[in-house]
Amino acid sequence: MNIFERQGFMVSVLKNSPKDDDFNIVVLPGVGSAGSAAETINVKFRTWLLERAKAEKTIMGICLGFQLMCEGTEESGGIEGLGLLPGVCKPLGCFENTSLRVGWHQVNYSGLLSSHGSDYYYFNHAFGLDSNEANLNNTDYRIGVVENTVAWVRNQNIIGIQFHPEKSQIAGKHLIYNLVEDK
Amino acid sequence: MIRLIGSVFVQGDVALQTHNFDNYRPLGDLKGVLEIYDQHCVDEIFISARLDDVDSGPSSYVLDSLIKTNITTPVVYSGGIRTIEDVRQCLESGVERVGLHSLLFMKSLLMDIIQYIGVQGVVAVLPFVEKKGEFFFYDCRTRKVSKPIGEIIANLPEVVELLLIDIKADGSETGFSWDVIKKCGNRKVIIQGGVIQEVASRKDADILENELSGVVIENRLLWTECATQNYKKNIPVFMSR
Repeated sequence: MNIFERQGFMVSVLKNSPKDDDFNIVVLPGVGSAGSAAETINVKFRTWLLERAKAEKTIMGICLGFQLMCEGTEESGGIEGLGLLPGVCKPLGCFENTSLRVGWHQVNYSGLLSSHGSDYYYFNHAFGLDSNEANLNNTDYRIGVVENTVAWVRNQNIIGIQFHPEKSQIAGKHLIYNLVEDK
Repeated sequence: MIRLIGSVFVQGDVALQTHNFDNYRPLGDLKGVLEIYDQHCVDEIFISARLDDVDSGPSSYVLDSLIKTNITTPVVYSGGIRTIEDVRQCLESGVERVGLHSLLFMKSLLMDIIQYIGVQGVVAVLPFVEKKGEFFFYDCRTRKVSKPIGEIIANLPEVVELLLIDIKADGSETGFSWDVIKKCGNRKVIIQGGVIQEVASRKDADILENELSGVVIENRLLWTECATQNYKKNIPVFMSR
């Protein structure tokens, strides 16, 4: 979360659902495997996050955080997600020529931000959302892709990002700043 | 594209550059080294720590340095990781992926760590030595060679990324034993130790990209002016961002 603070934003790390929700944006970070993270979210945050989404307040998931915002993921033997975004995340090998994506890829962020353009961001994942997922064709969703994988998806206040802006040097800093300011 | 990875070796409270993992030259404060790599936009940073006490867990000097830096380059850390709690500490300090070495032989614990961090969060660190055309795993703790490297790789989960370190060529521009890659099947690997000259001179970029996911450069990125930018600009397999 340091990257948000260094951009001048006030940050709170939540250990439980807060009583007062006056946050401009809530970020589900993305380190670890689905099993351990889902347990924490389901026990401590699920109801609050769903209410927050219903109230059209912004929620942003990064990497695993994004995957847990989907309907589910097949990681860790199958996990139910928050259902804020369509589709079930699968091993990359199901829809890509690779089983692991580690490295930098160019991503078009037009639609994720109000500005247009592209930049390079760092990916590190073995599961992901197939960009051919039928329900993403709904016009509510704007998406960016790398090969056959969803790199980001946005539906108004609900934002999922597969790559790691917090590990993407200057491009990542710009993206985070603009996402928070844009939201 | 192949990742250009800067590396730094840490012993005690000092960052070092190495040659054959035998000769060392102090680089000074780790935080400064990390910030140079970050400013020069290497694709990843690989930190390898040698610990005086092998039972003390990950290097607190490295983890503290990471917490104090403002870097936004992904970090792979290797050294002293023994438990899931050690992995958690690394992640909380800003490490993106952990490099495992001795733990590769503890299958149950390895699988538990993969379950905890995800398979993408683990790099199998495989130093090796060539002997009579065969490649053997070099145990950094005992400083002795052990099993054939192919045997170890065959027992690792398929998706785990491999880092092959040619001990004899460490710190050099050339001398990496390329035949070791044949022991890796269809896996893409990261290589370290005497690699940059051949990577720069090879004309078959597509073949190279099929074999490799990353190239670790030990020393030259730090003490050659604009080395990272020049490698990225002039060597087609690296991504100029």
